[in-house]
Amino acid sequence: MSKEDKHIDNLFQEKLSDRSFDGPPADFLADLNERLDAKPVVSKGRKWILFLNLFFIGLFVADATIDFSTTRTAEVEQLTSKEKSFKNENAQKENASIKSDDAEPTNSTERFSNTSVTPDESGTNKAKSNTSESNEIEENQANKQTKESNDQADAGVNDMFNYKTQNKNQGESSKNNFSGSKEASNSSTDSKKDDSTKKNNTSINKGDEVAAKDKTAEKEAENTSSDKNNPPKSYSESLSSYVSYSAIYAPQFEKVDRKIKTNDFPEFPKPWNELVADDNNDKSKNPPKQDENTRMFELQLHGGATQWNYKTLGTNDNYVYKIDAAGTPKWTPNFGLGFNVNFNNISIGAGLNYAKFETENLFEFSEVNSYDSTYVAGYDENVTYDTLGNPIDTTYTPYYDSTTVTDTTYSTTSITNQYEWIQIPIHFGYRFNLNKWAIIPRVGMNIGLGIRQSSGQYPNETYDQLQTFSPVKWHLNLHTSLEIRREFGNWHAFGKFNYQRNFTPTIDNALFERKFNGVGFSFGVGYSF
Amino acid sequence: MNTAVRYKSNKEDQMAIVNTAFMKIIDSIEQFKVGSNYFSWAKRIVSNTVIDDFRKNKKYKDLFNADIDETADPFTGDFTPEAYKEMEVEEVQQILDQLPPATKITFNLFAIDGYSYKEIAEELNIGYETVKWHVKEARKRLKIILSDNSELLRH
Repeated sequence: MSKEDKHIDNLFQEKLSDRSFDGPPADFLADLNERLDAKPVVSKGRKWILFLNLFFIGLFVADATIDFSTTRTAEVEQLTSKEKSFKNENAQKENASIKSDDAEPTNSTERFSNTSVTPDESGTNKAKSNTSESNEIEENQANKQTKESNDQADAGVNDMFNYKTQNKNQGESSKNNFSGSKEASNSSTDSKKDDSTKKNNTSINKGDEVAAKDKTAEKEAENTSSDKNNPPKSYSESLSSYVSYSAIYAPQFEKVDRKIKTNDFPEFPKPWNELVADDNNDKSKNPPKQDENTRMFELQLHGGATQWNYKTLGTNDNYVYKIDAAGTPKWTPNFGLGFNVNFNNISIGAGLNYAKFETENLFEFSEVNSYDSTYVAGYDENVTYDTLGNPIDTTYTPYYDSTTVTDTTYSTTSITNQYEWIQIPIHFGYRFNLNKWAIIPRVGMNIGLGIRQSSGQYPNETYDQLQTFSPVKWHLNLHTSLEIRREFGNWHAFGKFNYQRNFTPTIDNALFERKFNGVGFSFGVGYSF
Repeated sequence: MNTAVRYKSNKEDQMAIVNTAFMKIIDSIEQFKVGSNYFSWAKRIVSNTVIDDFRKNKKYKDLFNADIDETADPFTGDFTPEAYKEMEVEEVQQILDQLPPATKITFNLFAIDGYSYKEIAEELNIGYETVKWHVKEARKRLKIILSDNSELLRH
């Protein structure tokens, strides 16, 4: 380093390194302190965002807690109450039959022995009655089977209830068939109405053998009469268990019903409450049937169009303004495929999309030409004198000067710039079901892979020639969409509005960076499984 | 403030640098080792803030490359430092402000803040030789400007 260099350095160091400046005035500092101490005010927008966040969290939590098990519990409670009412009803009927048995001991014989008595033994009327009841059961069973086949896909809790209601009569008729209590009740009612006719019927229909059995039954009836206010507990429980059981375990009904026809009372391994408890504990054996609107996985194909817009940032404001003003974005196609996973109406998905950005640009280039221009700067005056010194002629000779003149010429160039990306969307949403329709708002992000071959041309900074700018390799988009779909069995058709915005720029170079945002729509089909 | 003024000629830019540097000082005050020189530490933060600000310019590297002209004639005039000892600080600052931005920041870092060529090259992510050239260029230009000023003063 030469001495001069050192001197220069020292000069600037001495003069500038220890310069001092006055601090800000006291009132400025006081104002600053006040501002710093002031309580931050939550803006209205923030309040809304907070409210919406809480609302959606509440919605998700509510949805997550109302699942099949709670519905199932409600159903169990209803069934239990129905069971109880049925028990009461049954007990009343039993009481009534027992009362009539006291009056007509022969009928009590039917009640306790009917399970072993064949239709032939029970006489014409009884056989007819049994036959009609059997027919009724068969009809009910046929109805049940038809309903089963029709509603197999939609069999749920409500269907079970319907089914139970439908079979209630069947249960009653079965009960009649098993116990004859209803018959006894009917018979006793008849006997009350027309006692003599009843007696005749009894004597005609049953004959001596039955009468002998009646005698033995009298003894049993006497024993039973002591419990007439308390109908046989296990019997009524088993009966009601059967009814409930048949209602819930519809597929086993046929087997049970076959037993009914042969007048064999079906033996169930456990009472109803235990069965329900077991059923609740072991859901894997009887998993809740999934609604067709909330199948677990989806594959979607879609296509549509997007209108892009952009925001350009750069150090040269004039340049940025000019290239922004020169471009007109166009609608561009987009298409792709998606894969979604649904759980509790929450949809999480990913996919692969193709997106394209296109602008029609009209750049105006300016060309500055400089040349020397010569002009007459003035005139030299030459006067010719005669011998006497009088001017006889004057000549003017121009003298010239030159200057550099700059001339600007403008030319317009039309350029279409295209940028293409492969996008990997990752999003989650919430599904609002409305019968066969569903609305799914989603938010997420797109990881964009710029296709380098699709590059655009823009003017250089001096705006005199074109320069090629490629898209960045990877960029990130934030996006939101609203999907409206219609289900057709496993298939669905949908329309989707979407908005996406660059989180990181898509074009980034020394001159400028450009972020895109696009509003678009797409239509597509999907398959759920 | 002094450092900010040296690097930035615009008052708004100076204030922006000072504010940013203050925020950095407040944020990282825990990193300050008690016993060390606070002013050196704070000055270093301001210098770094200036460098960061300079690097925000996307094309800052172009600024370093654009001015390099190896064939430029070296300054051949006389330079007598004693003649400038009495110059006002504002005048010196004005002379410094006449340098191109890249040359100015390089010279500032080297001559006044005491960075080495290597440190400047690393901080600004430019070549070692580029730094050297800009320091040399700064001296040359400053000598010319100072000489012109002295001639004006003489006349």
